[in-house]
Amino acid sequence: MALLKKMFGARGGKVFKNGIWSDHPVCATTLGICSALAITNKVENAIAMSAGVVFVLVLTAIIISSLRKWVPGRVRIITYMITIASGVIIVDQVLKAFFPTISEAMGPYVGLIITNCIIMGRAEAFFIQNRTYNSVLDAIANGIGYTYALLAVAVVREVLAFGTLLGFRVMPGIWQNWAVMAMPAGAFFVLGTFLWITRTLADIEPPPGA
Amino acid sequence: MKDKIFMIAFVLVLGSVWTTALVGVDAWTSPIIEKHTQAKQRASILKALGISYEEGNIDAAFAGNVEKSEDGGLEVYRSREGAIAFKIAGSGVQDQISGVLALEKDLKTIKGITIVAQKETPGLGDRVFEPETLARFKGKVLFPEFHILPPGRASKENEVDGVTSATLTCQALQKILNAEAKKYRDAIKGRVE
Repeated sequence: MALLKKMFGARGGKVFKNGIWSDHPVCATTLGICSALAITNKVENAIAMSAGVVFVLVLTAIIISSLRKWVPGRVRIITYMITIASGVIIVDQVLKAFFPTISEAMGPYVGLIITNCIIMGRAEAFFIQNRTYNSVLDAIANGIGYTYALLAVAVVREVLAFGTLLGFRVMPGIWQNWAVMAMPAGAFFVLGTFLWITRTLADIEPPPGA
Repeated sequence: MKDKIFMIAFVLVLGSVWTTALVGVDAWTSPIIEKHTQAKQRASILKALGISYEEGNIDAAFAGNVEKSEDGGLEVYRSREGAIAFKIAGSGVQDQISGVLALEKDLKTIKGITIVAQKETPGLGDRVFEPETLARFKGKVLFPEFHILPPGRASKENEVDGVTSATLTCQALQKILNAEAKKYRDAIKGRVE
């Protein structure tokens, strides 16, 4: 914490810590669960998805927080949607043109970044009320939080389901692949365990009524 | 009132700015994307015709070895030895199967097949498209009718062994090959005679 304070200032340090730990997008606010379940069967998919989300998140943070004084309250959601959707389309086109192999591997996932609720959630909860510097910090911190959550789930799932890590064999030859881990059901088990551990460690209160 | 006008103006301006940005990005990237798609198509044609090429050298290999022509309104690609290739497409079990079929000079012997897009059941139907399986089709004769049979049953020159787990996909592929081969042969024959 002291280090974060030194790096980003008092407010920035708190923002950063919230994003990567105490207000973690996946664990605390349970946003971005859809993609955390769907594309964590292989580590490389998790990395590609995280990179896309971080890029769009930072882009949205810059645009929404710079416009925050002019965005009329009643059309703010539309503003987020247009910004996010346009950003994602640009990412998709640029990937297709300059990195065709990555684009092919990611397939429809790039388009799905639009529906990643972390981006909408942070825009509404943070970017619209805070200045650009803090918003970008918040975007990066949330991006890091999302990335390590995805990586943690993907590492467990890939090792158990395929016996590999990033495509390299890590389990001994006699290892029996757990088919359930490659399927969505396996994602629920692993993500549930991950949420349990991190929520206990970070001392996150369950929402009222739960 | 002033608020409302500002709100509408804001949405219009924001929408126009993003639309302009998207049009710009599209104008910038679509020629490059088009080139990638074309290179992929040319590569699949070269592969079906059995012409070796290097990645990054596809256009030169294509220009030097393949000639495009229109026969009866259909696109046909000819190699120097007179083999022909054309695009094939038809419905598979799950989704459209598309690819390239190359025939020898006699217009009835298979020279090669490449599959460009398919969404058959992973691990079952899509095993038909493994290179080893597709290699079995080479040298088989498509006329009068081509058959993909259960493994071990093929004996004639117009029959080929299929894959056990992929009966329906084999049937779909057989239908596509027969229909497309006939269509193209008729078109080419019509021009020759």
